Amino acid sequence: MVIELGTGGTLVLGYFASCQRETITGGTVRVGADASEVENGRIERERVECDSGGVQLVAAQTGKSGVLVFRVPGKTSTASQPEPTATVYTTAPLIDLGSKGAGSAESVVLERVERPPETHTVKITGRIADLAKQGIDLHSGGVYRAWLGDRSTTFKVDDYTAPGSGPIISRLVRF
Amino acid sequence: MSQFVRIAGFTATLAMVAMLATPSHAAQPVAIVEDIDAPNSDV
Repeated sequence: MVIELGTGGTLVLGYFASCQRETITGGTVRVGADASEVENGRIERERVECDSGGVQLVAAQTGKSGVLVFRVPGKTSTASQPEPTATVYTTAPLIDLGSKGAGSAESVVLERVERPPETHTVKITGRIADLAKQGIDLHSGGVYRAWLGDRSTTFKVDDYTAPGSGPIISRLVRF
Repeated sequence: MSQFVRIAGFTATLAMVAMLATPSHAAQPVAIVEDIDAPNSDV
């Protein structure tokens, strides 16, 4: 995929796999798997926190990496709670309803899984429900289930995130 | 093989959910457009 920005045009892109956020000014942008190539333009990159869906190591890292596992005693509770499928790194996520869109729904309902009384109703605009634009902040460390009619998805707010908004790839939840 | 797209006319709201995929990663978007301002684009 190639995007022509022309002279002076700007583009801000976020890559899911690499958690790279790129600000590109001018030129021709070739979208890659985890980074862009730019001709006749300027590119600035920053790495941001995001849920890349898995850690990808380059060859030089694979031989040096390992995992140390600590196990904690099993929980006594057997209540079946949905496991989060994504993590966001701001307290104001942006929920993308995907190509199916919102249907007839006008809002997404969020409920905190481990503390049920907390619920939020987030208005849908187009195919997104943006908590930041509606001044809604969730709690760090909270696990939330988002409902759209009978569809739902569960996500976690990172334990150490600061209140507020941030780059979209840091706060995106996809249905 | 490249694929050209017209996104210069997107509003900020639409641009925020413009998922970009490459031919080799067609099943999943690889990137998201957070913002775009390209009034002189001739794509």
